[in-house]
Amino acid sequence: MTMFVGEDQLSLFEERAENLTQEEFEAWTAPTPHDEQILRQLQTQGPKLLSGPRGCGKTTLLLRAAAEIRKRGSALPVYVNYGRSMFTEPAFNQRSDADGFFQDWLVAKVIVAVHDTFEKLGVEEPELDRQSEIARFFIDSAERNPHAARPDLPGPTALTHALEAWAERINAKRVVLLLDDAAHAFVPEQQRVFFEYLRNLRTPAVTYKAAIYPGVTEFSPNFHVGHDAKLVHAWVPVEGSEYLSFMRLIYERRLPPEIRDKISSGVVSLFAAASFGVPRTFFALIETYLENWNSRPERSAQVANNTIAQNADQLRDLHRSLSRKLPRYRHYVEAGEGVLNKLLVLIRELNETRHRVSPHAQVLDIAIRQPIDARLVTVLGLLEYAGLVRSTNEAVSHGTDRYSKYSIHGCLLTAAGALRFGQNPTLEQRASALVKKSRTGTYKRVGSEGIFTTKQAEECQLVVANCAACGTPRVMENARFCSFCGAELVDASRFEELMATPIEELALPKKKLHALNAQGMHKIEDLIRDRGLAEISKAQRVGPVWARRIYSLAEEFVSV
Amino acid sequence: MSRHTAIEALNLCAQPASITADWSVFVSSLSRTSSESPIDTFYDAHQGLNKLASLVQSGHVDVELQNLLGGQLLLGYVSATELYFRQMISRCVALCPIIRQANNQQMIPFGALDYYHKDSLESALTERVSFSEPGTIKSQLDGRLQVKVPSKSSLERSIEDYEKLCQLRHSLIHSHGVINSSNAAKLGIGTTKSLEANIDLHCLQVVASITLNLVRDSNNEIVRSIVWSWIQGGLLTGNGRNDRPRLNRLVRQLGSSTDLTSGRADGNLKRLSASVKAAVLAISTKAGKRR
Repeated sequence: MTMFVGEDQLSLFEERAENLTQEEFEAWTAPTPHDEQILRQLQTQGPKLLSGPRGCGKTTLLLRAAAEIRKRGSALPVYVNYGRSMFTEPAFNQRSDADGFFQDWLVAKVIVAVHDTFEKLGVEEPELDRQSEIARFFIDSAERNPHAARPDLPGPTALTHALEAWAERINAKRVVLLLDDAAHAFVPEQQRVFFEYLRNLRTPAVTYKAAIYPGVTEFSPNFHVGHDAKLVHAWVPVEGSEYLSFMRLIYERRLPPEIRDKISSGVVSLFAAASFGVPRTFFALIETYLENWNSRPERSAQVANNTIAQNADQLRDLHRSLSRKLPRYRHYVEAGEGVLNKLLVLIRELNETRHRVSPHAQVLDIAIRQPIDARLVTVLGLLEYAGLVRSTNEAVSHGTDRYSKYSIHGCLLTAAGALRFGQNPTLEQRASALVKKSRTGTYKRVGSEGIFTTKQAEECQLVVANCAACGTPRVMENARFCSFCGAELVDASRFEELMATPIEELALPKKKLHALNAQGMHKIEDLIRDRGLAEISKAQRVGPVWARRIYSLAEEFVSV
Repeated sequence: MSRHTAIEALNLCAQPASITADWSVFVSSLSRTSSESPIDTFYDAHQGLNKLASLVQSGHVDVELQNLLGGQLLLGYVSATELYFRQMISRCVALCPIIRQANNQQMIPFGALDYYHKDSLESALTERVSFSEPGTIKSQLDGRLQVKVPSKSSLERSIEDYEKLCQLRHSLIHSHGVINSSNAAKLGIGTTKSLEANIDLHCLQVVASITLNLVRDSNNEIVRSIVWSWIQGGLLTGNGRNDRPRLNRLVRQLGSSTDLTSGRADGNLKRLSASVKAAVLAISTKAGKRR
């Protein structure tokens, strides 16, 4: 098969904004009108929580906001990436001051980020140099060793005072902390510490904008969304004519003409519409398409369909993988499979009926009658975290009933044949069908019981391990000692389990997996420990771009 | 002037009855085997208390008595922790010549000479110590065992948590659970209204975790401190064959056989010797550089 994307062009498909150079970032990303609105909110004084699934552009927005704030000069923007928080998770099983240890790590990351910002600005600050050296050393130790000694770092309140002083140093009146990957999705203890830390970070001169995931974020008991921070949705809605224009714009910005020439306009539109407002998915579809394409334009529609089906499978795999990442929610994830299938069937059935009456109206959304079963809310939350469905945050009324609306991923709708067309629809027609024409659009109404059977609801129990000594089930979810024999109930470290996972769990081509295995890399840990990419790069057919990509995938697997 | 007989006849409650207590039946010979390490003794007591804790909210005890039972169990956990420290101090004084030397100026009650066997006279060292008083654990670790509690460490946090727990113990011992203002202040909870201890199953799990953390953190820190002092004092030289008997005694006397069996601790003598060797080498290299 001809390779249409060489190693030198692979970097064009780099999926994570934080891995782009400043030049690539400026050249390849573009704000939509929706983004402009969010960017304004990210530059204002009030604290914000930026919510959206992976790949929807949260990092891009935070980096862009940082650049805008820097340009205006009135505030000091500090971009901090908390993506490696999971690396400190073992401490929660191995030290009683793990909350303080984790908070020190959070503070240390801010100090290092301020120092990096000052370096970029060419500003010297000896006290900051000293503190950042301590902080950098601690971050490195803490991510490797849960018993690392805690240095004398400021708490959140003292940190805000220091931030104010550092802002003064560059004549800025305010500090805006842009906290990326702040969700800590798999460690509730970390989420609790993080949101308490956030509450203490706010002063008249210091504010924060934190990127979180929908569906799975647990706030601390004292943190109130709306009061402590306003929620902002980062996800670009797949609606209106401007949606496809925006996707086309970023496509044209990123990919050179020699690649664009290989892809028909219809395919680009279809991928843009099916990618559910997630630029990362859009570029992944294009990359897969180019890999599958066999220089036969007459078969481009078939290849595009296969590409979308392949992506739909990957999305479902990602959702299924939550069983391993969040083993307590295994039954909820399993129920999610059934719920998703049911949603797709309901939409397909309604579209078939509607098609006979009005051939151009497509149903894309589902409206679930309130109150929604609490267990179903968790199921939907997990689907939303994986990016398969999306709460549109709209409520609609029919008579006395109120409904909450959810959108379904375009790749899933397409792969399941949930949309109904006349004979031989063009790719443009199929793309257009996936884009809502108006804010409300048309939707299928259903009650919880219509998509979530009593049996499924009953099966949705948290999975907590029985006592290893006597086999007695736990009397409560967070029990630490067996109620029958009194033995300690030991929970394995999530991080250590993820690190021990075979690399075959990563979405990598088989050849790359074989090459890594041949290089003696079998577990995720083998990849993660290779921070300099020295060993990964030794694998056959793994150049620098693939090495970075493999490392990035492994890091993402254990991080969030 | 003595009180009028009419006053002496006043009874607003019933009268007491005579009782003869034979205190000897209240006690029996100490059954715990001295071969068990202090931490394993603690584990046994802790596990027993955990089993009893399941009675709280189990339906076997009246709801109004559950809080009472919870409070009594809390005292049990604290008491088991105190016993751990007493045994640990006495065991370390017996085991470590450096610690024994550091304690040779300590005074003990004269009666202890008759009461304790000569091999366990070290037990008298903590007779007048209450480990539930704030600051005592830290001062005893330092004074008796020469263990300094590192700041911002897991041990420091465990001690802080335990001392808060002892505020509840104070209210349960001295006022049947009613919390006084200073206890409330030290617990860091509201001091604007009267409070009483309310210990349910969830609280007991927290209590069990706090005491377990303190004992584990202390045990590890004490062992590390002893090994380090033995290296610095030349009692361990990095020669595996010579060091092994002493390290073996350390593992048996202070290690947890429970944790060793479950794989949650490492008492492998080869690895211990290797750690000692690495430390000895590092010290001698540093000393060589200084010269």
